[in-house]
Amino acid sequence: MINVLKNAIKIVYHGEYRWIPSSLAFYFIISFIPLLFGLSLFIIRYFISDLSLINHILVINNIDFDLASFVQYVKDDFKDASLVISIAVFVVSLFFSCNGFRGIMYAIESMYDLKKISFFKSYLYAILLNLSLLLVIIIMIVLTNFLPLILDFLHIDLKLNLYFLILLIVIFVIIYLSYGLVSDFKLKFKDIILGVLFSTIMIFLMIILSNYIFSMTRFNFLYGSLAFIIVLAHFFFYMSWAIYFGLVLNVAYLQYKNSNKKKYIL
Amino acid sequence: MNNYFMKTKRLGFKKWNDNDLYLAIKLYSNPHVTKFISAEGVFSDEMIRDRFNLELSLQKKYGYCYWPVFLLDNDAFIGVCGLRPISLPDKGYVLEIGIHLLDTYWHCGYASEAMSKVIKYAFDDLKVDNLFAGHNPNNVRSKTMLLSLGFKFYQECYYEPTGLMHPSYLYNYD
Repeated sequence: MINVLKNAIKIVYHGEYRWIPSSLAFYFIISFIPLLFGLSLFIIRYFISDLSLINHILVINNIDFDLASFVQYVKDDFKDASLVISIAVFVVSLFFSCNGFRGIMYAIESMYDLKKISFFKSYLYAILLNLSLLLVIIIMIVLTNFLPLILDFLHIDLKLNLYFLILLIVIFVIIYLSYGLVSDFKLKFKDIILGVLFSTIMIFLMIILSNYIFSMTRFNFLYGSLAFIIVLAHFFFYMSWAIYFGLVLNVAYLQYKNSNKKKYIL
Repeated sequence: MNNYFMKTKRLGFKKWNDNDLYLAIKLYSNPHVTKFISAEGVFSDEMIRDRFNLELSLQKKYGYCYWPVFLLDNDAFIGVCGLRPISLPDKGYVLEIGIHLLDTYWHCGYASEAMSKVIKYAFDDLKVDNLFAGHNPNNVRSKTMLLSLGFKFYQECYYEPTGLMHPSYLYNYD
């Protein structure tokens, strides 16, 4: 285990793929936010009509945010935007954001000496990964911020531990699928489980910590309305590092396993 | 079409429309109604308009406010009753329940009937844990009604519009 860790740290600091976390964070920040925003706009415009109940839940829980006015503001602002153009912007931003994951795929193929995934397949996988991570972010925001309020509102006494367990399982499944997809499922479960577990735990701890820090400190005094973006940017950067280090752990583990195999054969 | 979204045996609750200013004028230009809720004892035209706009904005933002109440028998407007969010120093945001009736409909049991329905709505539909209510110290009948509905004395709270310390009560969801 120590050898694997040593090897992993060596790859992180001396490998040629040190650009991965920053690149991934860059694509997250540049592309994920418009993607998330575009999707929110689409939902706001076409699916949500009455937000008074959500406003009531927020105010009763001492969160003084007028969601209905915000939605109305967005609706008024985008009322002239055509559906075709909105979808076009969404698709373009989706394709642009795929480059982060395509970069990872390229790196993984080189690290593991795998056969290259075809151009279309890599785009398809990258879109799936982007959408699944979008899902993770939405689930994270809902679970960590609003689930306790919603459960409290519905008078459902779900134990706090249970809801953290659900969060942990959701992150684990998505990270596992992500690691499987970037290698085109050519790697066995036991070969990637170490990295998946590491990334899952790191991301889970980051969510808990960032929520704790955000609730304990008042970033908005310093950054105003940019506070959310600042926290999100930090979160993406550390999440990219967690994903990258998980991948590196897997590579280190495989290298260690193969080196042992060779010794045995010899 | 009466458009009552909530009914009791004798009363119906409607949502405010943009054209309902005349109802607010009818209620708040009556000095018997305003003597307990303002320092001057009467509402100016501007105050009535502000009050109406406040109810409209609360209804739009939270879905509740002091709704107009009517008699089911003849659709006569009798006053307003409903909820609004207020902030208490030790409890954060809670909902305040209140009622203002035209003087001709006092002493008929309408206030208790409307308040009971709104209490039920707050606990069953809005899932609040407690309700806040207050009254002018000179309004003894309101005190009797609140205690009979199950409210418990909380503390004396300063009420800016009258400039008086109003006895305040809480109703807990138990």
